[in-house]
Amino acid sequence: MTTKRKSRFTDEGKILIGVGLFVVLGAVLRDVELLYWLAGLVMGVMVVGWWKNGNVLPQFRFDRFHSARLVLGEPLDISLEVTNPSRRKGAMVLICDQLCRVEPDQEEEPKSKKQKRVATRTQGELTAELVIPEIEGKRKGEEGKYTAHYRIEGLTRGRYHFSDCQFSTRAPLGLFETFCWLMANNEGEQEVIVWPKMGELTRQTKGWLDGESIHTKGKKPRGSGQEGEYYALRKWTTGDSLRQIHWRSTAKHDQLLVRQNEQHQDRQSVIFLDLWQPDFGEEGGNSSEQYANDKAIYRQAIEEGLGFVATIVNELCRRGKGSIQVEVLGQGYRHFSGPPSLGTMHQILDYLAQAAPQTGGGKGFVGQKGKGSDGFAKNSSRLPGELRQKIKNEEALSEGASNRSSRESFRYRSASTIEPQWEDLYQLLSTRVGEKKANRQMMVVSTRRADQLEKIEKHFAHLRAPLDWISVHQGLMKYVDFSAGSESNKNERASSSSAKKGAYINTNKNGVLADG
Amino acid sequence: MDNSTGFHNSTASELPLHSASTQSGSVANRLSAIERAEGRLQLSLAVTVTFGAFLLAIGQQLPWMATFALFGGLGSYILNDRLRLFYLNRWLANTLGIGAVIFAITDMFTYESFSQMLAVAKLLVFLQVILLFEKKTSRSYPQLLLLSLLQMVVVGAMDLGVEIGAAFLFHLFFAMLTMVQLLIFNLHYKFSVCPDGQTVHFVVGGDNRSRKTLHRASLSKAEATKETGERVGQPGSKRRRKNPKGEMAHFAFRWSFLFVFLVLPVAGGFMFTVPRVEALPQKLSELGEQVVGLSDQINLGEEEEIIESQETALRVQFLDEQGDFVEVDEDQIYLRGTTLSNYYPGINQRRSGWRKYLVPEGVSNKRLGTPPSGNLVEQKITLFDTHLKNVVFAFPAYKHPDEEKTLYSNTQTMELFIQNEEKGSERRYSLYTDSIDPSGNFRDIVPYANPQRLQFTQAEELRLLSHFPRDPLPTAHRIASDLKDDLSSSATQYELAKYYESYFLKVRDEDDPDRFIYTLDQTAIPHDELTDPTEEFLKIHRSGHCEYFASSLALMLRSQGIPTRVVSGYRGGDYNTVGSYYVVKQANAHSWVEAYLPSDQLPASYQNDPRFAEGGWLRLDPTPSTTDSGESEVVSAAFDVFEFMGSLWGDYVSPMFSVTARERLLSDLGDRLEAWGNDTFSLREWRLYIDDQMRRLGFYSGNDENPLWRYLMLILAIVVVVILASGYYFIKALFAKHLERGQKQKAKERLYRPVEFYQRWEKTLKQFRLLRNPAQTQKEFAVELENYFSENRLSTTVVALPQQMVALFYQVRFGDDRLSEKEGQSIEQGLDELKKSLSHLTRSGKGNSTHMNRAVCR
Repeated sequence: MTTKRKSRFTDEGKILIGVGLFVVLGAVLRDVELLYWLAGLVMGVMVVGWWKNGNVLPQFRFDRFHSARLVLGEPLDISLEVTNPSRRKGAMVLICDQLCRVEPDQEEEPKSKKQKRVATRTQGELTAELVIPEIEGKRKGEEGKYTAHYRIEGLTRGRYHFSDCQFSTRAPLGLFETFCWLMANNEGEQEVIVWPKMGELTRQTKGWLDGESIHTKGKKPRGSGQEGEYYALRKWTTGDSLRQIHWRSTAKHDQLLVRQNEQHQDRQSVIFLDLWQPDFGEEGGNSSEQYANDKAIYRQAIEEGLGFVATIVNELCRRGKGSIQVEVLGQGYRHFSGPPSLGTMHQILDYLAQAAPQTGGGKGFVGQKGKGSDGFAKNSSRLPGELRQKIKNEEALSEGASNRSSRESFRYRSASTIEPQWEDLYQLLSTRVGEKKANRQMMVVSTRRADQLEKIEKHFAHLRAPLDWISVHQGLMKYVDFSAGSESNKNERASSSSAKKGAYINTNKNGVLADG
Repeated sequence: MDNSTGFHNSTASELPLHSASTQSGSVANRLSAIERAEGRLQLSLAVTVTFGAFLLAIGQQLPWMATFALFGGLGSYILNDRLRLFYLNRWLANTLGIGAVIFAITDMFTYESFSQMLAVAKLLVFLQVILLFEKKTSRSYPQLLLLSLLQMVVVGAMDLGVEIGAAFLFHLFFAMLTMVQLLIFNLHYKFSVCPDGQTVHFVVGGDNRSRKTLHRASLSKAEATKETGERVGQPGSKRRRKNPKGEMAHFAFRWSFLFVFLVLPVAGGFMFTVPRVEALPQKLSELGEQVVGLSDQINLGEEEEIIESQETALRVQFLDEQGDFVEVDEDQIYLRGTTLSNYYPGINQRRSGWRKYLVPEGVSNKRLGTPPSGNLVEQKITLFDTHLKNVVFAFPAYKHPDEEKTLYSNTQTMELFIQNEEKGSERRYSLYTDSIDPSGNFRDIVPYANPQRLQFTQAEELRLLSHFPRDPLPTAHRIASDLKDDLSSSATQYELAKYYESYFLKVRDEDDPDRFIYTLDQTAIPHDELTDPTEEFLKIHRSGHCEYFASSLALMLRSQGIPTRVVSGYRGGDYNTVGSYYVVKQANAHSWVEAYLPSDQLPASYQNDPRFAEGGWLRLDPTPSTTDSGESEVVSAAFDVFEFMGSLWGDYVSPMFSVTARERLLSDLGDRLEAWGNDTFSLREWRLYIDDQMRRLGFYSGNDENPLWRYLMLILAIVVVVILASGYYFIKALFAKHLERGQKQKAKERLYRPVEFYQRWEKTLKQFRLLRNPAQTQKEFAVELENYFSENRLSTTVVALPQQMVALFYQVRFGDDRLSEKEGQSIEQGLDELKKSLSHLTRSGKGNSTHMNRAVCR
């Protein structure tokens, strides 16, 4: 591994050089032996400082170990295992480990190392500065090792990338500083994704997952599909509800038999996540202050919305039944569908980790008071046509054209009555929300204001599709409990103090905490 | 805004750079680490700066400054850093600092070069003490260190000698100690030191205030306690370990010691190799500098203050003919430099005073004469003050037979010169003198011995020395006449001269108008441009230094027709008890009077002495002696040692740096080496030697050209060389058995302790407080461990370890089986793995001990 090394004077070193020159000058001018001697001592200190400074920073290697994914709120534990292959001892080494945020639109990796360095510098960097007091040199063929552990707390949602690690030392006298930049030996694992905060779903939401309406408190299943389509009779096993027992057959066969429903197994849960925030104007403009509170509200709403969806996805994948479909409409549009597997979950949560809201069209809470509560954004950056095309393409790819006709007709029936700022969502919903299906429930989670949401809800009111509307602004307390934390969060807490048995095993199965 | 959900309300763009900061959990730890590092830094810094300032004060010979420096350094460490009792208000400190700077600047303008240095020295010490007593920030430490370094520069500029050079080494050691400590402190203070096995916590977006808080806490113990809720860094508290790992304190001493030894050769090499530019600085330093000490003319009537320089002017040693040291009365040492014969009265000009004869050199110069027999004392002199051409000596002087240098004497002025000696380098020479009597006193009358007069006759000379300009000097004449009237008319000139001398030395009451005041400061005395300064001195103010006294006495004697001259040289010296020599400083520079007395005017005891047939010179010193501030015995003894070291340095080390001496030394060394090489490596020499030996033994008659034994010798030599070359391997082979035996022994021991691995296993577990209950079997313990490991989510390999271990143990212990090499390796790996994961467990605080608590963790 080639490393770049650089050495420079520190401020103290520069001052000492200055004083040294001054002393030499004084010695020459006044011809004072003692000043020559003093100058010699100063020079000696410089020389020894320089020589030793290079010595205490041998060519290190290091490996970095950390979790590749974590849930917002969890700490990121990182271990740097530094190896010293040289015989010289390392001392007072300052490690600057840089964690850079990768912005969603910069997904493609810059090619050269240099480019990468430049690119990462422009983004928010988190630098962990650690000092390793001493690393032994190679003794009897055994390389010196030192493991530095550190923990970063409070990482925000997003994707992070470890860039080169800077090793530097000022030892022994602080007159010189030598740097080198190293890449971790295990280059593959340099990324950390922080998923949205996850909580614990309330009974209400869990019920929804089982096919109940999220807004009604009754336990009555939606429509007739509670029992689903009868699939077969099977033997009773532990965990089956008593209700499910088919008493007649039980009597007949003299053993407990239960009815098995197919729907339960492959229930399709569709979640539309509408990440939206009003256009707050230019950053730093006059209006920004006025909107500060509004901004904060929306920011939190977006985080909560993401967290809610993430929790549902996590729950569904943990159950591992049915199929899962998530449509995210934010700054970009993404569509996910698949079986509730670890892979799907990773795919979805990785995307949610970086999801950003679309901006523009309509107003926030501040604008509400004024006239024309839902004015249009004049320079909406989103092009409905573009999106439509995108959706169409997705459609063609993901699903067959079997029930296309019905959807098409639906779309054009009401498109004319839609206000432009809803168009994206409307288009999306109208293409996705089809006929009512017994084994499918749909939910729209939006960061728009509740009254705004109601307007669009109207357009779909005639549809008897099981479509639930949730505005994050109304509070998600009913649906998810963030303070309690999701099971994974609980596990984290448990493991850090004292915990129930098997907490981590659970976590692993869920894939919430995948070890790096 | 509800933040209870734990969302961080910051977007990517608002992520602060370098926002990582420590979390409160480890704050107490870190604080105490910082505090300890700072404590060590403060101590070494206090020692460094105190030592530096003390050195400076000693160099300037300012006892108050030394006390001040001591108090400042150690007092601030105790009051400020340790007890935290008292801090200098910032406003007050700034005012004091500005005041000190202003004082220093005014000092600079008032005085001459030496006092400028003094002003700088004072300023540096003042600023240092102010900084020391201020509330210290991380920035004030390097500032203090820099101040101390600058102080060293000032000390160096004073050119005090080798003892200071040696003291630099001590200062260097402390300074480097402080530098390492400073680095360690900075690392602790700015960053998170990551001791092995502990996790450092960072919080994204943690406000940057935390740094300040940490800092504040590190400076104030009370606040630190408040913040962390516990006492940190208290002696005796459990938190405090002697040398906590990861604090790097052990580096400081080790490195500083090492570095002093590394720095030494570099410094020495630098000093040895840097070429000296000598001509330029000499000229530069002479520009506008007031000559302090010896001079070849005396100017009177200048408004000036003479600074008594403590620079060493010369060293003199007196040896009798047996080579024993002769101890003389320190006050009696009169060393002549120049003689001044012409008085220029100052009217309408300020340049009045004494000048030399304007005699052409070379004409009147003469080789120094050989001494008369009897009662001679050798004076060995090392003269440092070499800005004059003539050398300093005790008068009269004669040639020393061992002296290689040719000394010339000016027959007229009685000054000595060394032929062909350049100005500017120190001079060493030996002379005989007979002016010291056996009891160690300097004679005040020496014979007028000037046999080879070339240009002047004695009468002419005496006429010149009697010249007295009467008009501008009425008072001198009047006083002289008045005083003469006091004596009887039969009084000799000797008695008259002595009476005049006593007139100046007489102790009078303070309100007596005739009272003379000795002062070096002429600045406060008003001078009249139209009056001669000597006249003014006698008539008006009567205060001045030796030149005024000498001048007055000389002129008074001249007014009575007695030929006199003024001599400038050195008087007095400090006896060095270690080296048995006298140190004469520039402050000892002095002027006195020599009066010529014909033999009949001398005291009776001299009149019949043939040496005084032509008369004699009477030395008169009218200057009242000033009482020296007595140094304590210990201090002076210490100074003596330093002085002696300095003389050794001058005798043996310094010559190395003069080019000629170095070359001479080197060429000498080269010659010797060459001679040795010629002897050693010359075949012919060897042959002759061996032939000689053989002939003695009777092997060889000396006729055969190439006898047989020569070939035998050759073979023998080859064998010896081969043996020597293979010596290493030979010796190794000899001892190999012992070495092998040791290794085998160890291996055997391992064999005898086959369950050693299991003991190590339990030992390792013990480190993490996992103990086997004595009631438990190994297997039961393993099961328990397994449960514990799996609960704590350790890796599967580790979870499986206890069972593997116990299986191997049972196999070895009861099956009487040996472990295979592979098994041994896997055990080692397993142990490593166990250590790693357990330390991870304890570090992260995840140790889930609910289950193990009762049974295992003890």
